[in-house]
Amino acid sequence: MLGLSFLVPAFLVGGLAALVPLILHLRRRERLPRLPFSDIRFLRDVPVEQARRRRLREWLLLALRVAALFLLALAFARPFLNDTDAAALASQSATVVLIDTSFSMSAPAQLAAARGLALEAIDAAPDGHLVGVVAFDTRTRVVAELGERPAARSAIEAVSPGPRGTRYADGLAAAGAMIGTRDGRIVVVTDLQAGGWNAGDGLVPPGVDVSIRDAGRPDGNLAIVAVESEPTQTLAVLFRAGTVSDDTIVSLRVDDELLAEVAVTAEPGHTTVRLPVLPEAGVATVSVNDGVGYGVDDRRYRLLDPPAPTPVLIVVGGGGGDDGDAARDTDAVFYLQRALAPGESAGPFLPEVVRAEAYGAPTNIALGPRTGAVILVGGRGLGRRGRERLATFVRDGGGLFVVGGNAADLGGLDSLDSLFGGEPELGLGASLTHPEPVGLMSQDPRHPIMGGLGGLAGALGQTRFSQTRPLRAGDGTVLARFSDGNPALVEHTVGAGRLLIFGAGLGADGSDFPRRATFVPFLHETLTYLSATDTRSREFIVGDSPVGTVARTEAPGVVEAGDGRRVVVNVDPRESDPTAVTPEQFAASVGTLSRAAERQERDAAGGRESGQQLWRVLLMLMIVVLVAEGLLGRRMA
Amino acid sequence: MASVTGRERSFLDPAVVARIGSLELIARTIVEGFFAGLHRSPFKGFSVEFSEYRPYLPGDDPGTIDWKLFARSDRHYVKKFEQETNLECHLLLDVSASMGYASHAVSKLRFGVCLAAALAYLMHRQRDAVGLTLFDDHVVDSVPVGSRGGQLRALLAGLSRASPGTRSDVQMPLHQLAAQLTRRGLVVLISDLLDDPAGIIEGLKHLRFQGSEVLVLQTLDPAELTFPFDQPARFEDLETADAVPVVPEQVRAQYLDQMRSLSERYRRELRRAGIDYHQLNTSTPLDTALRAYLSTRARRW
Repeated sequence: MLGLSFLVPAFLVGGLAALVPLILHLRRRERLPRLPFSDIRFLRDVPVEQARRRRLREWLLLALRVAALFLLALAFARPFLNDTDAAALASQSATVVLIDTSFSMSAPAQLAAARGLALEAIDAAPDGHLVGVVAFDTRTRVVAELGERPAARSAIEAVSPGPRGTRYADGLAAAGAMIGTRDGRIVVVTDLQAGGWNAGDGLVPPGVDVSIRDAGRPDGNLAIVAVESEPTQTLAVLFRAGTVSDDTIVSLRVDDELLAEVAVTAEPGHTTVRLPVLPEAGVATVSVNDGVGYGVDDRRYRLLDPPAPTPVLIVVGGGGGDDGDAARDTDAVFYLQRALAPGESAGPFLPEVVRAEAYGAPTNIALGPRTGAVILVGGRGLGRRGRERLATFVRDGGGLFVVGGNAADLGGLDSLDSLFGGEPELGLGASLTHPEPVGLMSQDPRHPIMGGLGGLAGALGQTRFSQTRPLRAGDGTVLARFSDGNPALVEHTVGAGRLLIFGAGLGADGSDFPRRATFVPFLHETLTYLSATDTRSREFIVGDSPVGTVARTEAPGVVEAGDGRRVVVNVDPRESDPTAVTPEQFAASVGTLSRAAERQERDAAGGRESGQQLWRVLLMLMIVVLVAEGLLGRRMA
Repeated sequence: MASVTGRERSFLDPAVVARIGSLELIARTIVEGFFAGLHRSPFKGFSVEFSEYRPYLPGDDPGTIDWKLFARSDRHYVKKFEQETNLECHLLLDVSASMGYASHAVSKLRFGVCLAAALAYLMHRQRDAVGLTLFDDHVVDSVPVGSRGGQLRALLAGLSRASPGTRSDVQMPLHQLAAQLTRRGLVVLISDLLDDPAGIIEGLKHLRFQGSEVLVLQTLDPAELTFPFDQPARFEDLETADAVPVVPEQVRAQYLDQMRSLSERYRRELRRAGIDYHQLNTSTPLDTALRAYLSTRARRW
């Protein structure tokens, strides 16, 4: 059955405006002058038919006017049809069993206890309550929608702990959302692990009672929580939960080949285990024997493959320019190549130099996901296609570093603004020559580039620039300034990508920057920041989504990242600590979020209203009524 | 019958007459204005009353010489007598609330009062016995029929007390009067006749069957006759206080038709019963009414 509800019922007050014509009509009637007459018999008798017809028309006219105003108010109140059966269902109280499926629930016998508690909670749900089941770890899954108990019981039988961590806040939010605006309660079946509150407090709608069922925890747990590689040894960090020591064996395997086994006495807390030096390639697995705790954290993986260098494209100006430009480009490229690929061994970046006209030509230059960043040293010859390719690269998430001191001197780009159709406004000014060289000063020490430089950020000030290009920051962020106050490094966000503009050249002509100790770190941090692919992110926690990859991280182990790389996935080491809070502490962390519930209800109503759009029908009706009123009014006039 | 000059006619204008305070003066003004000179009564009979003396002239009936006066004065005087008629006149004046309606200076009631006063004066001058009945839905006041010297004053006093009353019931006094009449006479009904026409006609016929001559003077306001209103208004009945919203232009034609039909019905049915019926407009001179009276009287007596 459908019922009518309103998204903005306050506008119904506007329906009182419908009384206005009624009042006017009545007042007008009362305002008719009273005229004494000798005998109204003939007035009453003779025109009765006409008067009645006219009175009928007047009332019809009045009804039309009232209806028009009422329809207008009704339309503004944004009505929508509600399924009252669903509404009745929505008004039924509910019990949601929120069951913890993090790996801290995977100790022997823990799952059975949790299921038992959950089933008890289902059976104990008050008569008339709908029952639903939500499983949670670092994500939430509705495993049984609100309904009858058998379905909930079946769902409980099917849940099992996974390799993820605990996040109470999300679980409570999902359970609260399931209950919505009903009265109800949430029964949390969990091990009360303290680490689950790290993501913040839980909030549930008003009128929802939260009760806790403690599924218990193991007496202890052994876990490998970290593996670090050092030049002379490998360090594994062993964690022992509980209050007693354990004698155990820590094993090191590389690609399933056992390299070492170390007998260790695991003291409560963290114990560092020293292992042999790891080879330069392969996947190392450090494991420990644990008979009482969680199994999934008994081993930890480490990727030994050297990180693949990030491809960096250096675009230089094409021919046709004067010799000075070419020399500056060559100078800058020389230092860039040396900074990005030092020595014989592969560095973190793989620079590739390409001329602007080649970049802009329909060639096979790959600018796919493997290109981490583009350094634009010169733009002469880039052409329309080249500019479009560059702009698309950035908008799709790539990073572009414009070396303004070089690129702006080239005539290949009429204006750097044309790269992105004037947005952002790059605003490179004319070259300035400083008799007294200016230094470079970090403007935002919290920015990843400046933060990555660490103590070297201060050394930027020792750099001397005798030629700079003033930049207009516009909507961008100034990361560094020259000592004369002009912006030196400005960041813009374009689409999903980033754009950095440097207000000087990177060659030795005009500055001593390439010869400074800060040059290489600066470039590395800048290109690391610009690269969509973070070369250091080769290890993930279960459930994390590596940027730019299609890796599945649903289970610990080694997975293909999708771009040819391998990454390792480990469990969250915080989950290995079964330290629990008390039910009282747990309850104290659960708050009430009244506004969230209201917003949720409002959003749902808004969705229904927006789908039905009855206000359009009402406005159309109002127009029809007004037309009818106009026609009738004209006839009466 | 004497003609009415322009100057005299102005004294017949209801608006002019209404400004005169004294009812007796009003009556005299109307009558004197209407008649250039009241003719002597042509009726001489047994019931004679001394009028005047004049010297005997040859050719006079010697029987008319007053011998007693001759004995005292030694002159021959002829004794003039005017007959006191045996006509009984009954003036019936409707004083119901509807008679209080006025769309101009003169209400129907005031017009009726003036008219009744003039008729009373005229009748008195003609030595007719005159009575007066004021009524609405009952008899409000009455002056018995008489012809003595103070009768006129009594009649005028009765008329001066007339004020709009309540609802009208015209047929009631007609039947009452018909039941009381012992001699044939003249009944003059002054009313707007805005009542049940069948009842009124029946009452008038009752009088007529008793042998009385009946003169009906229907006094209507010009607004009742032309319905000149143009603005919508709530028309309130003076008698019932009922009100009805009216858009005049919507109802005028049918209202006038109804009024015409009513008048036509009165005229037709009263004529058939031998009753004189005249419709008077309160904005027109009173001579029409006087002429009607004299015409009726002359025809019957």
